[in-house]
Amino acid sequence: MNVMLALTAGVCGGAAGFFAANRLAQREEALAEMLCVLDEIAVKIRWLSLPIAEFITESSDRYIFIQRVEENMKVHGADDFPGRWRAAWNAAVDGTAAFQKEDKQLLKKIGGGLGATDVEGQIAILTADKALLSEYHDRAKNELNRKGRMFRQLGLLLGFALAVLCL
Amino acid sequence: MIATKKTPLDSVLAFVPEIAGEIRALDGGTRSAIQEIRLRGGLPVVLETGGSRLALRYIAESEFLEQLLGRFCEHSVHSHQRQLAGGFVTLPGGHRVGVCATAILSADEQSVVSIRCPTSLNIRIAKAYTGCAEILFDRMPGDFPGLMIIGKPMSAKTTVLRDFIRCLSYSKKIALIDERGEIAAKSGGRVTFDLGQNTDVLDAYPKAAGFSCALRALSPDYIATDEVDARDAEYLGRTAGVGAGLIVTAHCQDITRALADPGLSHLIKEGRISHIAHLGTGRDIGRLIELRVLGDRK
Repeated sequence: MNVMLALTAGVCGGAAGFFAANRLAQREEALAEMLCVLDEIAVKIRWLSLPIAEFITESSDRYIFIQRVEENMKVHGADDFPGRWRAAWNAAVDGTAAFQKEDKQLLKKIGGGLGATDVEGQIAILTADKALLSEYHDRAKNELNRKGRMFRQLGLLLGFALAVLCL
Repeated sequence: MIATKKTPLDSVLAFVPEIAGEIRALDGGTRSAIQEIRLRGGLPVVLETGGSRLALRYIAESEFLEQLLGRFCEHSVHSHQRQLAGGFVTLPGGHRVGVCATAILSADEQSVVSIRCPTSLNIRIAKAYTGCAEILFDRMPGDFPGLMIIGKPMSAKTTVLRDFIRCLSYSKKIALIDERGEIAAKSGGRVTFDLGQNTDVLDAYPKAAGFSCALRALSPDYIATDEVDARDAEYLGRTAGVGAGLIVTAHCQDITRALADPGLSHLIKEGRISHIAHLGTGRDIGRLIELRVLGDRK
């Protein structure tokens, strides 16, 4: 009985550590994807003047975030395009658990500004926003490198300690 | 042949559901006669029905105009930047929305780069009247150097040009420079209106760039374009001898004034135009008032 309990406690501790580390990895991945999305939007705006609606249709199979936006737009089908777009983008930001509060605030601001100005304005805004998002991404990457390993080790250690206590 | 379930008015009302109910409650005759929907900040929406006008109960507040412009641009101002600077946006289906707003000028204050705070919007409903140019087409010779279709605003010049292209396209190759996207109303790589079998559409091209492109790549018998002004006329006048005829429209009250207009007369003097068709307005909208042959020029 005690052995079973010790095993369960050990696995739980280890899993908690891996879960915490995975959250950090997910944030880093989600922010990296958003940087790619912003890059692609900037290119499509600068060279093709591509409308936002077409960008969503074209790139939803490449980016999970844009796929979520596309799905959300169907939910808000009754509104006009600007209303649907804003609601769908914000819902996709809120629906991505990996983002932290500061990521969400910045991404909502980016969504609100997309399509609202001429080409030069869009490129300028996207460049500024991308610089800030890159900073967040760098921080997320450092956090993952530093804390990821630590969380996994702490988890295993905690699990081991619990297992020993159970025995 | 292009079949659409929705009427042109329906496709416009899809963008403005706020007034759709009131317009749909009108009798069929009035509804089909609507040519323009005018929205002015703080005033009731007005319908222009070819000579008469009808005010709706709905008041177009300025916030509503802002919102509407966002809808018309599909929240992508950058994609409509050149159109907006030119004071219009073209909707899917070729409906042109004229935009009155505050201009944002370039650094040298010589050109409008964008606009803000719209004060009024004028939605012109694009309709195809197949056969409306057949009288004009029948009166034209088989080969002609150039045709200029003139008339006052709201004389269906674009509609007649579109149908004339359709008629001529069965026997000639035509390159259409659709600068404002309202003649062909291209959408997703296909044209919305019937332009015949042999028409190539250069969508959103400025006239000069479109003209060069058409000559280099499309070997057209005729090059067609809409709303030629003095600057375009000067450029087109210099293209005599390129081997392609011209079909253009221009804003002008009558043929006498067109001949006296320094800009348009340039085209005529250079032999680019051999025929001028004058269209009526109001109750005579789109009707051929006069077709003048300007002499035997090739």
